[in-house]
Amino acid sequence: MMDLLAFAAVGIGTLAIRAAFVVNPHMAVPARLERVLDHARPAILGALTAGFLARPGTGPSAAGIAGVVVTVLVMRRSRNLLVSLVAGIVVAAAATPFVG
Amino acid sequence: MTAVAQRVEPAGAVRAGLTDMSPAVLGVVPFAIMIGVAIAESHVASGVGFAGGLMVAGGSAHLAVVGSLQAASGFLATVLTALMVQMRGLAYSASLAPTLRRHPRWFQWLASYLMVDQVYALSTAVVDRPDRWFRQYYLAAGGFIFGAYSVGIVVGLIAGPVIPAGSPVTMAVPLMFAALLAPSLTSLPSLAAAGAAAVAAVVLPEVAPSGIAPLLAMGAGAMAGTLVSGGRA
Repeated sequence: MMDLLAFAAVGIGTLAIRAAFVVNPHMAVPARLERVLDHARPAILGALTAGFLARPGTGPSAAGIAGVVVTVLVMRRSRNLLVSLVAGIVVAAAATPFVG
Repeated sequence: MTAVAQRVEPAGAVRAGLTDMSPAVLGVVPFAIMIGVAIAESHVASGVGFAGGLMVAGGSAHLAVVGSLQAASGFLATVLTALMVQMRGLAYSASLAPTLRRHPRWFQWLASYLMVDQVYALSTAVVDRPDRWFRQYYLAAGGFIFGAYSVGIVVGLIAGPVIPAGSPVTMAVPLMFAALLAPSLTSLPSLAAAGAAAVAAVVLPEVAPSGIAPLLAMGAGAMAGTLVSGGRA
């Protein structure tokens, strides 16, 4: 039940965010907020990547870090999510027996 | 010349929306399948995980909720983390507001719900079309990608239980976030923001309550990016 409530809360919050300027004709975007949003995207995704990669107490594995580096490099070159994801998984899997 | 530029008559709006969205759909389906696999491997019930995708209306945030629930981060931390991911919608909202305010209220709300990255990007190229044409185009493009995303989630939910525990595929969640991050790494400030947030996300759970650690890490990253840019974007 808590899971469903969490999804519902995020859904309502998301709709409120996206509709904020559309349904409210008097609302304007502060320039300062625009600048923060520009830096927020890499910060959010960086935190989520490392957060989900880390193991409690020991931090991220070397193989996991290698997978992330390869994923980022391949994505920057190919702009193909599937290709970059497969490359990262293959490298992480190959590195695990050697570096953990 | 894109399908958008070739079809200006209202009757072609739906076809143009579907055609223009096709390449994005090819990219979204594998992403959705992996999220479906992540749901299947978590303790989140399949039906709840699927319905959650339709509620959240955004792949990254959907994945963030599933990951946070699996990590038992707590209700508030889960919701705030996912909403941080969705905050870029504020910029989309501001950008499309002058166009969407011309339309009926029902469409303003529906368009806001469908305002994912790909729909936003495509719709900004057709804001000068007649209103009815714009609505048909927007709904066709948005409906297409939401439908494809839902199908991908179902495929992932079915495939998930077949994948053995401990398989390298289980690393797909952080690697997907890394892939989504890659296009943002275009400058020193963006690198600083991502790097500082990543280091903080690893270190902070050791010293701060695990519920708020991800939010603190995101804030630290944004501050680092701002500092490196000298206060400019």
